Amino acid sequence: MKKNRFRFTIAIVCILALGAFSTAGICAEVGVTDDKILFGTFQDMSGPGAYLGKQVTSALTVWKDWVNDDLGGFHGRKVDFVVEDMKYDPVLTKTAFTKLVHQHKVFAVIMVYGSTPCTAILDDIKKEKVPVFPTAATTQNMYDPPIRYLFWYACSDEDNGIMMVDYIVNDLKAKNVKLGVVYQDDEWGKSALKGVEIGAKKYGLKVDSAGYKRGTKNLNPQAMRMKAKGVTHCFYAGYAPVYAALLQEANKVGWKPTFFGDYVTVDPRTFMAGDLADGHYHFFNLGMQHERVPGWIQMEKLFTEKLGAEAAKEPLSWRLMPLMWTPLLYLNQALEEIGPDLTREKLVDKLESIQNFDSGGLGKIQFGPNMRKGNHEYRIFKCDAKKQQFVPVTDWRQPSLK
Amino acid sequence: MAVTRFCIRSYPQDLKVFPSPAARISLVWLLLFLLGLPFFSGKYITFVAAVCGVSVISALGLNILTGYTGLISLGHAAFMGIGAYTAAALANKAGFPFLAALPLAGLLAAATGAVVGIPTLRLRGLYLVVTTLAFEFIVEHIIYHWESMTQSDRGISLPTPDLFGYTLDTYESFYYVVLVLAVATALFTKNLAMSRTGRALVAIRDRDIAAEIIGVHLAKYKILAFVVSSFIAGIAGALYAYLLGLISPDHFTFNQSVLYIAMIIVGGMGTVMGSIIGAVFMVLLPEVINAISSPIASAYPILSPRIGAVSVIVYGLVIILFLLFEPNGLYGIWIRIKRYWKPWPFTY
Repeated sequence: MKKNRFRFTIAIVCILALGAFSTAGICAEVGVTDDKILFGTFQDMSGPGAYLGKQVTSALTVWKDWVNDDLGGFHGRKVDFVVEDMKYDPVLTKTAFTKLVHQHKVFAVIMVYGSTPCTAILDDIKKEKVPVFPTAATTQNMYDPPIRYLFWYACSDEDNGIMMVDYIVNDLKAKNVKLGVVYQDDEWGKSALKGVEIGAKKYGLKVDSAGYKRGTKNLNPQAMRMKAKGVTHCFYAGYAPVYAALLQEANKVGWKPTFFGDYVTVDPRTFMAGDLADGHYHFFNLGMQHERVPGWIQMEKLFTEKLGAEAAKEPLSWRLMPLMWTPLLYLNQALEEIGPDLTREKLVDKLESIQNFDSGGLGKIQFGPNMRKGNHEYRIFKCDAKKQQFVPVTDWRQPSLK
Repeated sequence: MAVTRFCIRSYPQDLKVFPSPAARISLVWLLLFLLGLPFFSGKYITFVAAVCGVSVISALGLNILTGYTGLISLGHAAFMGIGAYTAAALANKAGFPFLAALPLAGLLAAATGAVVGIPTLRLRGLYLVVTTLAFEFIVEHIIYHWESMTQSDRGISLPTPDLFGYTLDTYESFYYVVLVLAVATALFTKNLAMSRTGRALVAIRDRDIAAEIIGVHLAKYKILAFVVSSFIAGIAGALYAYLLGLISPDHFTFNQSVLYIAMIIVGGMGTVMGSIIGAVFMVLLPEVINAISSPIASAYPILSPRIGAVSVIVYGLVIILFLLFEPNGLYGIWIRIKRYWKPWPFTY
């Protein structure tokens, strides 16, 4: 009896050990098997930013099909991804991140956004050491101080604020300048205000500002205040429909400054203001569809092939789509260059070491050791309301101060 | 109470918190299951269980105010916010330990509850709802704009809690703290409901004028309900803050208040078990919808961008169906099942 029990115990131990070693053989890194790399993402699929979630999911679907069907995967491994709905809610984001890491056991988290949701998981990213590539959250804490596993690729309103003052002083050579900032009263808007203030300090200019609460539709008080202060050049940080409303209010009260809209205003809804939007400036870090750069042409072709011409129209109409596509191209290069021995640490090392990446004119992206801010260069566009286009008036440039 | 405690046959039995042996045995099984949960489930399920626990505590607090006393509050998330930010400020800025920050968070929320409770002496129904709604927006505004204290959108982080020298740095360890407090809150609420105070609160809910005539001090009990409810909400908020490690204004919005109201409605108003079931149900519902929709999205990628919208419809539909067909909530369904099986296999 005792002998049998001993044999049984030995057998169980052997089976468990075999199981453990065989698993180790198949799975070199979490989320990576011999034939698959599993990525995860959390998106707002049913909350206030659901439109964004749909666009990103479309981009990821096209990317997955392209990599697997046309590129043959990376070193024999196909890619796959799981999506968790976070409804733009910080708690659900934390839940989604935990689920992706511990339940789905993803290799890396890709293509996420949202200041509050991403801020909610900063500590988890450090603790779990899971690469997050990239986040498009607009807060500075995403890259400053840098977190090894978190990469940021978006547009910085602080950079844009500085660039506005640079452009007014150095390019427009405007006289008797009075700077103003109309901004959504949150971290996003405050970073714009900070940028303009930094720029103004450099050139010895003064800044007046008028914040508004998120969700405000009527900016009459802000327009009145700016007019009373005699603002000649005004930076706007907020959503495009509110920008259009600001242009209309400015016209109503007889205030005629030169506006500089941040990257979010590079949006078809800016044209809701009609001719009033014409001739004002905008900052953008991406290539435009009408420029017909190779990156856009390839992206259009892939979206049309993979989603069908009709279904591709919606994501392609979105001007921020290169913000999703450029990092995916960058990720492709990293995964290709790492080789078959793929680990999270190697991915992080590779992502920060790629130099002179060519996105085909979609946008500039560059990281470095201890540099998690992936976007440094922008162009300034002028709004052509008749053609409903944003036309670049400068080449790629960086703010004069960092 | 009479509806839910249908199997009681004597007054001594009615005085017991768990009147039947079956209730006591099933409770022991449930506790054993909950104690063992982190051992056989992963980190994710443990984290979700901890969120459920915090929601249970908070829903129990709201149940005292709305379920027992009949004072509908849309400011519950604000009380949680006060508790959360108090704990965060005490822990982060003043270096208070977890054991000190937690009760202080509850106390400050309770003090605020007392202040908010005063107008309720003259208000009822929709007027009270609007007052608590205004309170919710005031707190939201303060959290958002008192930057030096709350750090606004950037959020305020909390250090890892420490309990009797043991660092609660995993979801598993914090889960047990939440579990203990959830059980304690449930027992407290159950006892409160069965005490003189609880009966006074129910009397106010059912007919305040009649309650006053029979000697219930309306002002005292209404304010007491607010104080106790907000104290529990404050504790839940503080636990939430420690569990998440970082809080921001978006954690305690009007939507959260509505969610807590939904919890006690779906679970069953005026019952402890209803609050528990409702909180667990409402926390798990999005997870279940996600779990169902993910395979569909994988099988039909073209549908994946649309599935999010469908999940919202399902979420709303479940709540509407409950309100229409089961006003007593999930607990009502449970009671009906129990009643059906009690005389089985006989009809009567």
